[in-house]
Amino acid sequence: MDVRKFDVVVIGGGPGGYVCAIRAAQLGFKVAVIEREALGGVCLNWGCIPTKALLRAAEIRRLVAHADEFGLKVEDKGFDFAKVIARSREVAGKLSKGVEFLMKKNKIEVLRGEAAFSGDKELEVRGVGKVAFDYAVIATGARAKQIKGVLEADGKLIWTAREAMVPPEMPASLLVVGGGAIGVEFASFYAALGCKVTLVEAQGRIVPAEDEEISALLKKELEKAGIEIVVGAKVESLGSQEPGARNQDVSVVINGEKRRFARAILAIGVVGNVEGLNLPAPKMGHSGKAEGGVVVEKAAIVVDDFYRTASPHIYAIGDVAGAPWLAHVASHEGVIAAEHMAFVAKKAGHLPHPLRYDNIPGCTYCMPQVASTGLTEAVAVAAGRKIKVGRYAYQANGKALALGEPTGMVKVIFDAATGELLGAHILGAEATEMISTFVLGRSVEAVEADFIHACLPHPTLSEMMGEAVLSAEGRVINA
Amino acid sequence: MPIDVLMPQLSPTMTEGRLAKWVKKIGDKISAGDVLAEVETDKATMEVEASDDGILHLIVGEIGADLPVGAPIAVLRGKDESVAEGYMPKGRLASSAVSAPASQAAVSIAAPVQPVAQPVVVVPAVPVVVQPAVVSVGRRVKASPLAKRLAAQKGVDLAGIAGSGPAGRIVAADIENAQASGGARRVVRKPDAVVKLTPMRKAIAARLTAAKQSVPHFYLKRSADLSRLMAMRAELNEYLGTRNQEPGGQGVKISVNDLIIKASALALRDYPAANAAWNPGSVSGASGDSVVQWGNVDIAVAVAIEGGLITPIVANADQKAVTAISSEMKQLAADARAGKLKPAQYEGGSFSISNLGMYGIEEFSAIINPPQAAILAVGAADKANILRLTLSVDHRVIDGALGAELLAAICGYLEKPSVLIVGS
Repeated sequence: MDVRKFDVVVIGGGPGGYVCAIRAAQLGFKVAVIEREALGGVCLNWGCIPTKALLRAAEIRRLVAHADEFGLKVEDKGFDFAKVIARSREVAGKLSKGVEFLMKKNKIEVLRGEAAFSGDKELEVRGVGKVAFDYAVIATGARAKQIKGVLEADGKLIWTAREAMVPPEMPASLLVVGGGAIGVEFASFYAALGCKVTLVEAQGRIVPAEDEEISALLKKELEKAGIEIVVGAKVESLGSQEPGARNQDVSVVINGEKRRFARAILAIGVVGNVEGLNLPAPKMGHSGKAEGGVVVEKAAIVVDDFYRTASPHIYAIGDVAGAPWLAHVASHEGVIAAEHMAFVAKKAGHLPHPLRYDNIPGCTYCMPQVASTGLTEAVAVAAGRKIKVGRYAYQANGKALALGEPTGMVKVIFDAATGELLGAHILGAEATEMISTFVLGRSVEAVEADFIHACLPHPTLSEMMGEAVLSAEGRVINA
Repeated sequence: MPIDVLMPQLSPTMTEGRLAKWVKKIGDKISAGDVLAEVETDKATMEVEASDDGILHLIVGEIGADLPVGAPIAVLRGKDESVAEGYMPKGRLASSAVSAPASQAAVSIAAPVQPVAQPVVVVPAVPVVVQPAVVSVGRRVKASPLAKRLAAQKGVDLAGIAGSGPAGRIVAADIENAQASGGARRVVRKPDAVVKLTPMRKAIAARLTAAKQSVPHFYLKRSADLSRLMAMRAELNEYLGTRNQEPGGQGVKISVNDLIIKASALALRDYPAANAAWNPGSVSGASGDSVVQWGNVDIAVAVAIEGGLITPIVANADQKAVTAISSEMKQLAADARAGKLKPAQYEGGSFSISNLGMYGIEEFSAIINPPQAAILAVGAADKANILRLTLSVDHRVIDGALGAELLAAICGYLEKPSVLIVGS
């Protein structure tokens, strides 16, 4: 069998891999993407996109419940759960097809199968054959984390996110283990559709990466939506095989108390897909230190600023290269890796700018939404920064009231001495859309004056960003 | 009838004055002799007194304004007098070309029914510093807003920094890195400041420019061996030191400069032809028709004061004992620094001494202070007690030979110090 040869081979067609492949093709490389499932990866097929489609159904149902306030006579006749799920799958499928089109458009070959390294510059793709490369990019992503014998999914009663987005039926009650973005989103979705949800988080607060004030506000809102929240929770004996119990539910001990739920979702984090790749092992070098190969630490491939592994011709990007496990980060890393390869191989362009990990927006699509970038107030203070904090409440914003979304706040943290925007935190409707302005502001290193001088449109939710900045300066207008 | 108060001529050389302070307010009752305002002249800060009784009706002189002698600065009115609205005082200016400053100055008028003084428009006190816009040098510097602010706060010049951001943009980290590596402070450009001249600086500028341009200077250099003078001075000061501790002791301590004053005075007495001045004939004319032979030997000594210098005079120094010169000089210098010299104490003089020896200057050439015809520049005596003297001479008055004899005589007295003590 012939060995096919490519300049760049990307293992994994997720938001990191396919974007990297397109950028590499743009830069003149002959590129192949190896994908064992559907193009688009977890994000597109089993994560970001299908969950947003599900959450949209929940949001609409919530609007219907409030229709009367708007003077609309709408009767909530319940929902067709299978159709809700089907729509989510349809959206994912459509986008996956879109990625296939993008591959064709950019003359990127898609090799279907699982890949493993079979030589220094060679991969074996099961069912396809050997593929030689100058550069390989490992973009195999991550999967839900489980703790063997303690927190393990069975795919039927105890789900990971993957099963949670295609349930055959609506469970009567649901335990969500993990109060991070994924857990909170599922809790919000299921609760909105009438499921009795309990959300447990081992740390002292839900969305622990977010600002404490935002975290506390979210807890209040989720509890208002009927979600039981247990923080500082110790979860033991999660199982579906309790002797004597009917096999159709989940038993668990939370903080010493025995509880039963129809289903449970494990959302305790993700772990990199580093297995089965036959990653090249480091060799003992002349200096007596290990050299080359691909080094894995804590289920994540170790890379440099340009995503090179210990072998300079092998790159790793996205979830498999460690936190933050976010699609937009993976895409950016893919672009930087491709540009770095072009710079090294062809002396083309310039050395790319490393990604600033202190300005990665985090978005949680629960109701209300949470979005943030930069430092939380506590972290800024702990870092010894003298800060100015500005806040603006949704209930003082005209557009928010018109939308019937009076819940939430915009919070900004500035360095008191330099006017640097250290962090921005938003809770409320369209928070995830608004945060981009602050991300851009931080990206160009805008100071408070730049935000104040920008004339923001009225009436919008975005106006609140300007008001929050004014509030930090002690000169808020509409509050 | 309202009485116009004009900028007075407070010294013979004063052509304009700067209003430093209004002592009286609009509406104040004024008696003749009351101090109305303080005026900075080319020499000192002086008081403007009222020459009539009345009420201070109008102030047209702004604080900080330079007004020519004869320009209106205020208006007095009688106690019950009403002054026509819009009344403006008229000046009596030496030159009609000078426009009345009243048209430009801010005017405050107290309405007669409202005797409470309205505040005079106060212009910031001198020196007025004008900050010109920073002139950007060369190409546009691409920098983030935060980088610009950090650079401004830390005094870092952006032009000297390589940007690491997209398209070479200077970002905050570059400023911090540049500072950490110590390279950022290499080039610091600060805005230039334009400092308004004080009347004294204006006078110094005008007089020295005129002197250097119109007086044909030539320079004579000679050294004097001060070994004996220093020994005698030590002895003398030791003796005066014991005297000073007695009741009525005056704290006199003879300085080298006191002895140079005396030596110069004696030399000028010996060469009266050199104790002279070019007589220009007219105020502006350079073509004179005579030379003035001074009747007295009055030695002017340059004293550095804040913002400039002044040359108080030791009159008839040839006739005074060194101890008297010393006491007088001490008092004159103190008064000069305090701005308390009276015009008679610094005007005139037949010869000047400028001594920069205390600053370690070995030798220098001074500019003649017209109408005087010579100035002696004194450097520092070296370890061997050799003092270098430079005599700047107005060739119109003193020729080379006469100048040389004068300088030789000065050196001679310095080298025969006993004569300085008795030679009067």
